[in-house]
This record gives sequence, C-alpha cells and structure tokens, in this order.
Amino acid sequence: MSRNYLKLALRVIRRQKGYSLINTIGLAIGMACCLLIMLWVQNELSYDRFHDKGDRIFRVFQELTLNDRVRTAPETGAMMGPAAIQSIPEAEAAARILPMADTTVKYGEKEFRENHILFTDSEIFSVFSFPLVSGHSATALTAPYTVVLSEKTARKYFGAENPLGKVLQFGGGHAYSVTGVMKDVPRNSHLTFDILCSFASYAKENEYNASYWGNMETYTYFLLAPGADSRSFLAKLNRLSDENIGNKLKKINGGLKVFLQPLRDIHLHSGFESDMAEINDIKTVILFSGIALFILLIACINFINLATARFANRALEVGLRKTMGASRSSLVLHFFVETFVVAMLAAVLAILLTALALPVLNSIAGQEFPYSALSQPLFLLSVFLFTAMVGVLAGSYPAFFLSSFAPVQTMKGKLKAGAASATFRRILVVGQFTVSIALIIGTLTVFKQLRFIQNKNLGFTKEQVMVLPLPDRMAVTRETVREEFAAVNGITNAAISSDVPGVDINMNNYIPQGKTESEGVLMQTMAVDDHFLTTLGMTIVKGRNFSGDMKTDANEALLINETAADRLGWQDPIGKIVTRPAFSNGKHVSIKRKIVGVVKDFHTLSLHQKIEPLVMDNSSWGLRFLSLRFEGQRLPELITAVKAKWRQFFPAIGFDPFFLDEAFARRYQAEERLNKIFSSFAILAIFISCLGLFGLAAYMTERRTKEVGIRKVLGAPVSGIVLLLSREFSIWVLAANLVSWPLAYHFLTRWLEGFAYHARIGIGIFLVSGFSVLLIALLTVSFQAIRAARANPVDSLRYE
Amino acid sequence: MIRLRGITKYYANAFVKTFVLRNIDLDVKEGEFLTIMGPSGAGKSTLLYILGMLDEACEGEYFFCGQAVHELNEKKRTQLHQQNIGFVFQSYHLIDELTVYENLETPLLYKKVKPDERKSLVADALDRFRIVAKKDLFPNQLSGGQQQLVAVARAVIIQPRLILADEPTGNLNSPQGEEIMALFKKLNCEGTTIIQVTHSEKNASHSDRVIHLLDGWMNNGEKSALPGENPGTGKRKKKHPEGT
Repeated sequence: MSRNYLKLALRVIRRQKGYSLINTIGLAIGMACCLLIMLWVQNELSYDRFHDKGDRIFRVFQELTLNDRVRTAPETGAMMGPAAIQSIPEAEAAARILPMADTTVKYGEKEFRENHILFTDSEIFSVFSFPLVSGHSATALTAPYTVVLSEKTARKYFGAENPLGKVLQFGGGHAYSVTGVMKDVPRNSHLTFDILCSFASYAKENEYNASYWGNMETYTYFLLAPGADSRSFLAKLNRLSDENIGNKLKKINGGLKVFLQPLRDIHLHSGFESDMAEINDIKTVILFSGIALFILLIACINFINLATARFANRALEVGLRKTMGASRSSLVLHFFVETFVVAMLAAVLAILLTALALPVLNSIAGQEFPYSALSQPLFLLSVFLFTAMVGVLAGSYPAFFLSSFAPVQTMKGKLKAGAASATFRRILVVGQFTVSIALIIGTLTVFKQLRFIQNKNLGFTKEQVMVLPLPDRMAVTRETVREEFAAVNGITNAAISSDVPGVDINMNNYIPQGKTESEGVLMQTMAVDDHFLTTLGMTIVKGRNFSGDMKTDANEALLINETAADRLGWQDPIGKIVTRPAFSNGKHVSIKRKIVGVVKDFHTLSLHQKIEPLVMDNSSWGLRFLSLRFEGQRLPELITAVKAKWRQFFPAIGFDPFFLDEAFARRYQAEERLNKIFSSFAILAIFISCLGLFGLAAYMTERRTKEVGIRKVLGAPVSGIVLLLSREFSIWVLAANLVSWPLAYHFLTRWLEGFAYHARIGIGIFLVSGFSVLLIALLTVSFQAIRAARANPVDSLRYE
Repeated sequence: MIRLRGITKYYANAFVKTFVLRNIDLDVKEGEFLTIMGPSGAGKSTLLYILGMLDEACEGEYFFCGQAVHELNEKKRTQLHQQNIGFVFQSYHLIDELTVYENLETPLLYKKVKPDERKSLVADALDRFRIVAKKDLFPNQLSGGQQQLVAVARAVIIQPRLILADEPTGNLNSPQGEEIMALFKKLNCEGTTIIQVTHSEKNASHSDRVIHLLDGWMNNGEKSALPGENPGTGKRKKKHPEGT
C-alpha cells in the first residue's frame, strides 16, 4: 500500500514540475539554513566539554566595589590560587593564567607574530585535560623562562627537529627554552593558546604585580576535590580573599566578593565586560536558531499554501478514491507520504546546499568546520529530524484538509474555493512576509549602527595611525627613538605613551583635593608624552598641554578629560590637586598631581561603553607604545621605511606594528557577524517567500483566466487587469508591514540599548524595508498577471 | 435488496429550501436492472449518490440488504459500500496518475485484499475485459470507450452486488456505447444488480424497469417489473421489449 503511495507521489512530483520545484527548493533552502545553524549551535554547546574533570572545574570571578562603582570581572590577584591550595582542603588543584600581550617570537631565521600566549604554572595540566606529547607535565613550567608549545607551533618553528631544549627569542627581549610540547588546543575551548610561558617568568620581573592581591589581572581556575561542596569552598575562599584584600577595601568604603563560575558556563553564560576567553552569548545562539527555524517555517508555509490553493486539482481524485472505498485515514496517509517524498528530496538537496555553504559559514562564524562534519551521526540524525519535522509541519494541514472533501461535491464539480482555507492561506502569507520584513529592518538597523560606529567622531582621528609596541629595555632614550621615527619620510608626527585608545586601560583611584580616600574617583590612567595629543588629533578644551619646556610636568602635571572634570565636580579644574594612593617599595605613598588641562572626551573602548573618566600624566611609567601619524597613500613603502628604522634601533626585536582603526574595528566583530548573518537570512527569507508567492500567483491567475477573458472582451485595459490581479497580494504585504514594524521596533530598540552610543532607528528604515518588500512582491506577482492580461481572451473563452 | 422510504433531499439556505428529491419510495430487487430517467436537475444523480452511500438524505429511511444505512456511522457505511457497490461515471473518472493496472488495483488496496489475490483478480479483470495489452498505459493514452471499459472493469473488480452507473455512455459514440451497454447486460445476467441514470431511451431499453424523476418527484410510469417474473434469478435470457 505504502509503496503504491510512494510511486504515485513520485509521479505527481514529476507531472507538476514547476510546483514541485518551488516546494523542493524552498524547503531545501530552509533545511540547509537549519542544518548550518545546527552545526554552529552544536559547536557552541560543545565548548569545554572535552576536559575529563570538567564538572569539577570552576573559574573565579569577583565583584569589586570601590566608591560608587561596581565592576564584575573574571580577573583576580595572582596569589589567590596558590594561597587557596595551601589552606582550603576542598581545592584539589588551582591554575592561574595571565594573557601575554601579542609579541613576535623568533627562532633562527624564522620569526612570527604570536597572539595566543599565556603565562601559567604546571598546574594547568592537572586541572585541565591538555595532554603533553613530550616533557614532564609536573615540572615543565616551573622554572622562569620556560615554554610549552602546541604541536602546531613547535612544527612551525622547528620542523622535524626535536623542540625540547631549543631557545626561542621573544619580542620583549627575553629568551625562553622549550620544556614541553602539548597537543593542539581543540577549537571548542574557551582557552585558546599556542604557547604557554611559565608564570615564574612573569613573577620575576613583576614581583609586586604577581604578589599584590589588589592587582587583579590573573584568571584563576580551581579543580575541586571529588564530592567537595562548592558552597563551603566558596565561603572559605571569600574569607581568604577578605583577609588579603577585602578587609582593606572595606576600610576605604569598598568591598570585594568572590564567586565561582562552572567551567562549562564560561563560553555562553559569561557576559563580562572584558574576558580573555572566546565567549559568545546564549541569546545569540537562541536568536540564530530561531531565525533559521523561521526560514524553514516560511518554506513549510509555501508548501501548505500551494497544496491547499491547488486543492481543486486533487479534489476530484479524493472524491474518486472515496467512491472506491478509501477511508479518511488512508487518504491522510496518502498525502503525508507525498509530503514526505518532497521533504526527502529537499533533504538531499539541503545536504548539497549545506556543503556548498560551509565555507560561507566558516568565514562568518570564524570556524573551521570540515566537510566530514556532514557525515557525522549527529548531523545525519538532525537531517532526519528536520525531514520529519517538515513532513509533519507542511503535511498535516494539506493532508487533513484535502482528505475532508465530500465525494459528491467534488464529482459534481460543485466544490467552491473553500473560504476558510483562503483565509488561512492569507494569514500564512502575511506571516511569511512579516518575518521577511522584520529581518530586512533588522539588517538595515544593524548596518546603520555599524556605519554609525565607523563614522562616529571618537574625539581623535583613528585613521592613519600606526602603533609600534616598544621593547621594555632600550639602549637609547625614548625621546631619541621618537625623534628618529618622526623624521621618517611620510611620518608627520610621533608620540610615546603607555596606552593607546582601543586597548584596555588600567584604572586607578584619585582623590580630589579636600576629600577623603572613600570619596575618590576611579579613573583610567595613562602616561603620555607632550606629542601625544597632537599625534592622535585630540583637542584641549581648557588649560594647556604638557610641554617639553616645562621639566616639572613629568612629576607634577596632569591632564583630565571632560568626563573626569565632571566626575570630580569642579567647574574649573585647572590648578586643582588630586592624589593617587600607591604602593612603592613596600610602602604606601600618595602621588600628588596638579591638573593643568582638560582634554575633549575621546573614546578609549568600543561604543558599547560610556566614556570613562580619564587622566593622563607625563611620567615615564609604562611607556610602551610608539604612535606614528602618517600621510599619503603609499602604505607599503612607508612600512618598509619604518621597518628599516626599527631594525636600526632594535635589530633583535620583532617589528610588530598595528593600526589604530583596525584595533577599534576588532571590537565590533560580533556586530559584523550579526550583520552578515542577518542579511543572508533576510535575503533567503524574502527569496523563499517570493517563491511561494510566485507559485500562488501563478495558480490564482490561472483560476481567474476566464474572468480575465471576459473583462478583456468587455474592454478592460491590460493595466487594469494587472492591477486587479496584483491588488490582493499588495494588501497582504501591507498587512505584514503592520505586524512586523512594532515587533522589529521592540527587538531592535533592545539591541541598540546594548550600545552606550547608538544610531536612532528612524521611520526611514521601516519605510524602505516595507516598500522594497512590496516592490519585490509586486514584481513577482505582476510577472504572472501581465502574462494573463496579455493573453488572447478568445483562447480562454473558447471552452464552454 | 434496496428499500427507500420517504427519501427527501433539500439544500437549505437562510430563507429557502430547494428540494432535490421529494418523498421517494423505491424498492429494488437483487439482480434487477433499473434505469432512472428524467430531465436535467430532476434529482437523478442525487438519488444515485444516496443509493451509493456517498450522499445522505435529509429525511427518510434507506435499507440495504436489510441494514438501516441511515443509522450507520461513516466507518460502517464506508465498509458496506466498499464491499458491495461499484461506480461508473459519465466522464470515466480514472485516476490520471495511475496506469490501467493500478487503477484496477486501487479499490482492492482499499479493501485490503492480499497481494497474491489482488494480482490474480486484476489479471482476471484485464483478461475478461480484453485490455491486457493496455495494462501499463495511462488513462490519457486511451480512447473514451477504452477508458470507460477500464472504469467498468474497476467497478466490477471488487465483485459488487450493485453497480451504480451515472450516464455511463454519455461521453461515448454509439458503437462504444453499445459495447458498454452489452457489458452491463452481461453482468446483469450474471447476477449483478445494476442501476443506471441515463437520458437515452435506447440505453433504458436494456433495463428491466424504468423510473422517471421530475423536479424531485418520482413516478413509476411506463414500465414496471414484469409481474410474475422473479428478476432475482437473472439466469435466463429475458425478452427485451423495444422501447424506442
């Protein structure tokens, strides 16, 4: 019996080619979308599942309160891990991790820029499952200046040579010897690194930072003992933290609370302002899955609409089968089989499309899914599930609807276009276009916000600035270096600073004159020279810049930005004194500075965040960036010239420039991705919707052929007929606009609220989206309508 | 075999009832060949469909072989009809997507006949109606007469006790029509009860009895079952009064 249905279904498909093509292509695209997104979602959910003891691993995050500010961040003091292991029995092992700034690494002639380097201890191998290929996991990272490389990295530098014992020259000037090689880190790990340096190397040069609990820049992970209660551990950890730092903070009206985050929550459930981890948002995962399902739904709606609209073609057959003794259930089964055959054809096509689109997914999501991912059991299972889902979603209504016809009416040809099903169809089409329009509005809004970001005046000129990270130790003075680089042909200005915008900047507590420590203001602090403002194109609104002529500036003067002036609460801050409590040579000291100028606000972070209060001093503390403003278009030649100069000063150290505008652009990767995905989805949605509309229009025009003939005989012009046939569809699309506008507005407003500075949505985007969809829909429909309107009426009226 | 009492059918809208059949009383005996005649819109087809259990009367009683059809639920009715009734239509109504063989097979599938038996039944029918050569053709590759032949074969294949034919020769030329009527006559002689609707006096002449419908009213006019004869046996060749 079922074989009979199957055979018949194939014949029906072959006979109604156009109709089957529309259905199959639509469903295939919908399924391909779902399959691609499923691959991605599955990968997102698989993060950090490969650690054997994963369910016992926790990362520490802290809530730091200082004055009126609360900051939650996953960084801690470097000593928390070692201290806890000593005193808390629940902790089996602790790993601390500190990301190293990007640098170049050199071995013989081979030199590469490395951007995934971590400082850590050997404990990392007992907490996590990162197996070593060679070397001893217990001691590999114990001594200063030792490194463990991933297999890939080891091969890159040493080829077939044995890496153990070899020495790598790091950009900062230190030499590290290789003590181990480990398996490459899986892609679905929130920790990504190619090189591990021993934490002792860091501690040796940063004794204070590595021991002071208040210096929170290290990531701490605990492996709890089997069966240990994480709550009692956390309570003890909080006590430990209070003893070392929390109680001190309480004295100055602050506080510190420690929390634990399960390892497997890090990738999708973190949401900290800054995090070294590869993180994503579970909301994005849900959003993309939802959109993919919507696209599949749109394709299913096509199927339902076309099947019910063309019911007259099948009604006679249904009646006939009933006269031959067919029961309702056997007819329902019959139509289900037909749908499933189409769904299976679509599934085959969908797998093909998925394979074709895999590189696109990889480029958008920044992943490397291999083609073999398409043959994994889970993938094949989901192909099967999607096929079944499509069969049920698209097949149910037509099956029950078509099998319901009473035979007498169909045989007598009395069956009228069911008013009920027409209404249902209308609702479905409006639904399809609602989704399409909303996606287009989304695309345009995300695009507008991205352009807003790119064009927003950041308070300085980010274009045409090349930044060179300087080595820690130099044989010549910084001023000499600066002057020499400024003299390179094409460079108009050069400046040295401790930080540049686009890079995270440390915050310090400043106490305004006449106030106590508890009334201080937390402000970003950077050290700059007197050329910095002019080089980056920043402007002074009050007071003066640092000056090379005034030797006292280095120890006395301070520049603040407008937000800082506002936060400090002074109408005219020029000449006022602020104090910064610091720790020097084991003693608490106060650094006093006089404000000499106010700089116009500029953005140091992405536009997600508000501008923070900021101070710039003229000290020589931490100066590590050389910013070069250049002119003209011949970038390659300029880079060659700068590189030659670099070699002259620092022959042993890697040349590793970056561009300020690129550093900023990197902060909007998530938005860029959203934009790409939204626009691809929107195009697909509108394409599938129009495919359905095309089929529907073809059918409805066909049904009105006779009416068109009569009208033409009565003298109706072609335009009048086209209008007649297109009017109904236009009304549907307009109705879809009414539904989708408020929905889109609601969600996009919420999305934009994630930016401290954002574009306004504006009615324009809505009108453009609505009208463009209307236009596309009308073009689709009028193709059929014009053909019908231009047909010779005699042909359509000859019968009867 | 069939007993109708007070069968009435009307279509009602908000204000008006349009009567199609009014108070029809009809008895049909096993083995009878009955013709229903009447002008367009007289209610002939409706009556036929009610007899075929595809349509329901609004009022009245319908007994088929002693079973009260008007009291059965849909499932039972489908069963009754599946086992006992074959249909033949004016426009053949073969399923376009199916070959001749498959068209013949379909009612057996619905009756859940076993595959072996199905094959032999279809083969018998192809043989009997001399359409073996056509078994793999689709309906649109056949002439009208051939299509109707297949349609009759399809109606007969379930070995029904009753064949209902709605203008079976209406779309055929006269030699083809004659062939179909001869076939009906033969089936009738073999014991199958036949009820046909026709406009053609010539076709009516093949039957034992003719009833006339006009505006939903029935009058048992010019011909009735021959008294004294038992049409139920149907074995012997009957005399055919020429009606024309």
